[in-house]
Amino acid sequence: MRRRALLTTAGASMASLAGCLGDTEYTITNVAVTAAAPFEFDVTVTEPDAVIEHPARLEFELRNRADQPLRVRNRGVWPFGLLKLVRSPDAEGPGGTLLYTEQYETSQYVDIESRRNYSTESTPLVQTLASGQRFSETYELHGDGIRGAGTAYVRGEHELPIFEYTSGDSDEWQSFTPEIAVTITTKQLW
Amino acid sequence: MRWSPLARKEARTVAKSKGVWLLATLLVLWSYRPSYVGWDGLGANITAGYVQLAGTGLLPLGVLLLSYQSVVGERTSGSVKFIVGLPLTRTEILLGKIVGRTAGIAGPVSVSFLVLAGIGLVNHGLFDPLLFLGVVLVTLAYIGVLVSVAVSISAVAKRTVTAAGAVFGVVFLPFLVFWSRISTVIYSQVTGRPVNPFDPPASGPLFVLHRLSPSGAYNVVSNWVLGVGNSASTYSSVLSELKPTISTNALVVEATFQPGTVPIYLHESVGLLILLAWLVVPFGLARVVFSRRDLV
Repeated sequence: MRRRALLTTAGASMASLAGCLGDTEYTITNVAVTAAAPFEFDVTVTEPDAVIEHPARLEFELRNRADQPLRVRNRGVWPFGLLKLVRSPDAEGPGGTLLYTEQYETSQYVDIESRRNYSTESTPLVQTLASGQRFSETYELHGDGIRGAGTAYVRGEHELPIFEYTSGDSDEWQSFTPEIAVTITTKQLW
Repeated sequence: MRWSPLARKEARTVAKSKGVWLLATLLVLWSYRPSYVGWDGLGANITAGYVQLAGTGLLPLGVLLLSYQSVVGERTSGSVKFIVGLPLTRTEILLGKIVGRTAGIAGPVSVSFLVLAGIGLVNHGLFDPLLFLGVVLVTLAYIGVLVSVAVSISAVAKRTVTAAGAVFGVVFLPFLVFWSRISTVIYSQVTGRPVNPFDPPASGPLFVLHRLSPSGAYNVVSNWVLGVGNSASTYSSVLSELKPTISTNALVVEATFQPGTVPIYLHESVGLLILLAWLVVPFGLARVVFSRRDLV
C-alpha cells in the first residue's frame, strides 16, 4: 500500500504539471487598429494560432486615401519596415518580439541571423504610393518569442511607430502613427 | 527456459496491478510536451521525442517502485517458499523475475506510447513510424535495465526498507536525477580542472563520464535513433544547445568537439554497451549473493 500511495502522490504531482511542461502556445483573439488619414490602414489576422507547428500571421494593408501620391520612408524593408510587438503603447528603444516577414531574408538592407539576432542598415528606403494604391505584407508572430498572454502593441523597430511619409517634393516627413493593439491569449494544450 | 512459467506469472501479476496502469496513464501526461525547439528540429517526429521524454524521470521512478519488492517482498511475506520449491535454480528465479516483470511493465507502457502516437498524429501529423518504433524499442530495453537493477537490489536486500532505500539512495537519486552534476564534480576533483557546463572542455573522459549512468546511456542511444546529436541530455536540450545563439548546460559532442577529433569511445553505439553493462553487472552480482543465501 505504501508503494501505491507513493506512486499515487508522485503521479498526482506530475499530472498537475502536465501541459505546463510543454511550451506555451498562443492565439491572437483580436487586433484593434486606430489609424488616421491620409492612409487607410488595417491589420487582418490570417492565422490566429502561434503554435509549435506554425506562427500566427498578420496581414498589414495600406492604401493611399489622399488625392495625390505620397512618399513613404522606412528602413530595412518597404513600406512597413521591421515591426515588433511591445508590451506598452509608450515603449521605445530595443526589446520586444520581432514580427517576421520573408522580406527580411531578401532585403539587402537587413542582416538577419535569427529572429533574435538581426541588424538593419540605416539607408532610408523611399517609394511612392500613388493615390488609391494598395500595398499589403504578411508578418509572422512566432510563439516562442511571445512574452506571455495579454495585450501587445505593434511598433516599428526604427521609425516609430511605423513609418514616415510626405507628399510631393516636400522634405517635411511626418510620422504615421496608428495604434495597433493585439490581444493574445494562451492556447490550451488539452 | 524452465523459468518461463515464473516469468509469465510475474508478468501477469504486474500487468494486473493498478500501479503499472497508473504509471502508463501518467506517462502520457508527463511526456506530451510540445516544444518550439523540438518542432524546429524534428518536425512531426517530435512525437517520437515524446517517447524519449517518457524515459526521463517518471518512467525510471515508476519502474523502480514497481520492481524493488519483487524478491525481498516475497521473502518477508514468506511466499518465497513456493518459488524456491519450484525446480528452478536461483539464477533462473532471478531471470524469470526480471523477464516477467519487464514484460508486465512493458505492456501497459507500450499502450501509453500508442496513445502518445495517436495524440501526436492528430496534433502534429504523420511521423516516421520506424523512427518512433526505434525509440520505443530503446525505451523498452531501458525498462529491462531498470528492472534488472531493481530486482537485483531486491534479491540482495534482507529487508524491504533496505531495498527501497538502496533503489532511491543508490540508484534513482545519484544515477538518474543528479548524475550530470555528480559526474562533473567527479571530473573536476580528479583532473583538478573546474568545469563550466555552459562552456565545457572538449574532454573525452568528461563526456564519457556523463553517459555512464543508465539515463545518460539511454539518452545517447535514443538521440542516436532520433538523429538530433550525440549527447547524454534529452533531445530538446541537445537541439537548444546546437542553436547558434543559445547556450545550455547540455554536453553535446557536435557543439564541443571539432570534426575529426571526437574519440571513438564517444560513438553512440557505446551507449548500447553501457546499457548492456547496467543490465548484466547488477544481475551477475545479485546472482552470486542470491545463490548463496538462505531464503527461507
